[in-house]
Amino acid sequence: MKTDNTAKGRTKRIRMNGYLTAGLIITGFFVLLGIIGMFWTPYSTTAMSASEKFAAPSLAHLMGTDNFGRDILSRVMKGLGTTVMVGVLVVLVSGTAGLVIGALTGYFGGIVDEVIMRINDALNSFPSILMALVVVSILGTGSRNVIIALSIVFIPSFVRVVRSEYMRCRNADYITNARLMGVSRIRIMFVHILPNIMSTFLVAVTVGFNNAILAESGLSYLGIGVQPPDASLGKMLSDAQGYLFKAPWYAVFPGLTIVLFVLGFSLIGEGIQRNNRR
Amino acid sequence: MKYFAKKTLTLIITLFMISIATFFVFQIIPGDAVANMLGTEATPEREEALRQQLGLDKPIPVRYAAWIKGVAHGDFGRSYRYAENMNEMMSVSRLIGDKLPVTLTLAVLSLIMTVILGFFIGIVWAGCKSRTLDAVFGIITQGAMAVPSFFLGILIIFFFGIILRMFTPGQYVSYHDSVAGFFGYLIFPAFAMAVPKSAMAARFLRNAILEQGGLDYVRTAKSKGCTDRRIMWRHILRNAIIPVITFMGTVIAEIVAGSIVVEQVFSVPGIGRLLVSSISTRDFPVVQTLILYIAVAVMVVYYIVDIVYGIVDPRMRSNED
Repeated sequence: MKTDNTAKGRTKRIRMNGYLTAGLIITGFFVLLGIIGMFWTPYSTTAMSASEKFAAPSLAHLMGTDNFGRDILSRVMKGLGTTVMVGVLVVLVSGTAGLVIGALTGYFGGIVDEVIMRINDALNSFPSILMALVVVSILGTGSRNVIIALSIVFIPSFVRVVRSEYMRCRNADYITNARLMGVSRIRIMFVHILPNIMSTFLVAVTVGFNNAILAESGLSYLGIGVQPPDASLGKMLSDAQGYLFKAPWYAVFPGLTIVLFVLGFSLIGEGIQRNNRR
Repeated sequence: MKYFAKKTLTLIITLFMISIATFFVFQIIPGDAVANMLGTEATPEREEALRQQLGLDKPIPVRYAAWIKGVAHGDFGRSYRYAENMNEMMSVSRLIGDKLPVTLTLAVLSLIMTVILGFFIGIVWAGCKSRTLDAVFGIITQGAMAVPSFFLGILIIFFFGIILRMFTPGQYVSYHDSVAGFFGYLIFPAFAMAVPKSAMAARFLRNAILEQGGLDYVRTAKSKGCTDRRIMWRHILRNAIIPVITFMGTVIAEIVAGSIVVEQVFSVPGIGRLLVSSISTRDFPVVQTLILYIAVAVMVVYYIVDIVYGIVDPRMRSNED
């Protein structure tokens, strides 16, 4: 064991609270459902059955069936799988990029920082769905392009959070100490400062997940996101809209899934924030 | 004065950057637009002729100059998709012309609802003493923020349109036909956008009020014998509203962007719907113009918010330089 007590010793242990527990349970459930959905679903997601068109929710079909007699639960699981995959990849890419850019600009400052932040603020002031539309209109539709578009679009928000944290930390006493001891800059940035900003960064990650889920389902709802045969909750909703009167459950279950999934992440974010305040 | 001049200069620079960005971004992909327009009839000669006709053969800086000159005169080029008559394509400005008022009305309606709802809930919430009620407000607003606007729109269509029959879903009424019917229809999409935004605004205002409530001047007012109501309206709110004004800039920007999705849900023929259909058909002159419109609108809104902020809070003006 290394005796590096400068950073780890100071890291606040995340304590559980009601928000965090509820959030983790909800999110965990849906992530699990989505991951299962990638490999296995109770029924085939494409098998049509004329006799079972618009079957109301029952024990055989927990969420009922759609206009082609397909099992909605299976399709929700599959769509959730797509959403989880898009969310994870987008947050991974934009979070990492945002962390590196934010750390460098926030720690070193100077003219480069000034220029990057001006551009960053300008990009940040545009609603993410608009930026995503621009990128998708250039790259074209499909899940791969949605992931690329959202990864680019969400970088600025991560940069802003990380940068302001690094600026706050860079002149702290323990950093000055480390510097005097001859610790390299890279090590200071990622071994000494990073653990201290982790909880703030995690809040940004939960917000990132929320936005990624909402943006992906929004784009798919508009018909310019994830394309069939890939299942998507947003696309299901737009299909279901035409049958609202006949089969309200067709719209309710995919929609509710998005809402609860997003709510789960919000609760986790809220929980971490309440922890920090104390 | 320095503050306002600085903000105006920043706005001009930003608008210039936006025009360059919007122009160049759409230069990456003009090739397949030509092929796309001709479809199966494409031959190298016809592609070349069309490219010349559209001016796509000239160098990029020349095209930017021509484009920005056109923009300044309200000429945004012609659509690749919509025909005006047998031999001419429709000009983008004509295409957008009658859609812009629709989206504008929708956004303004939604903003008014957001402000009324957000302030009402925020003030009531900040004033409530019971812990249970506080938690209830917390859960409701958190839930409202988690609902994506398109799903909320569908729920509103189901509840108000199909069950209560207060409007006919999908039967948009043009303002040419009936002004009352127009507002009667738009009120529902506006509501769909306003719900999550007002939840956000309410949370924001409530936190600002609580923060102000703990400050010394409130204690002073109280010991002077001011009534709670007077303290709230004349003292706290005037200070708590300042951060909310900045926040409203973001809300307006998000309402503008949110209308893209909500117009689709309620089949409102505004610019958002045109934007989405133009993206699917790769009608780039229209996409480019709409993106420019929305980006400029967002920037101007932020500018106005900054100016209002400077007027409301004189500290801003002195701190800035």
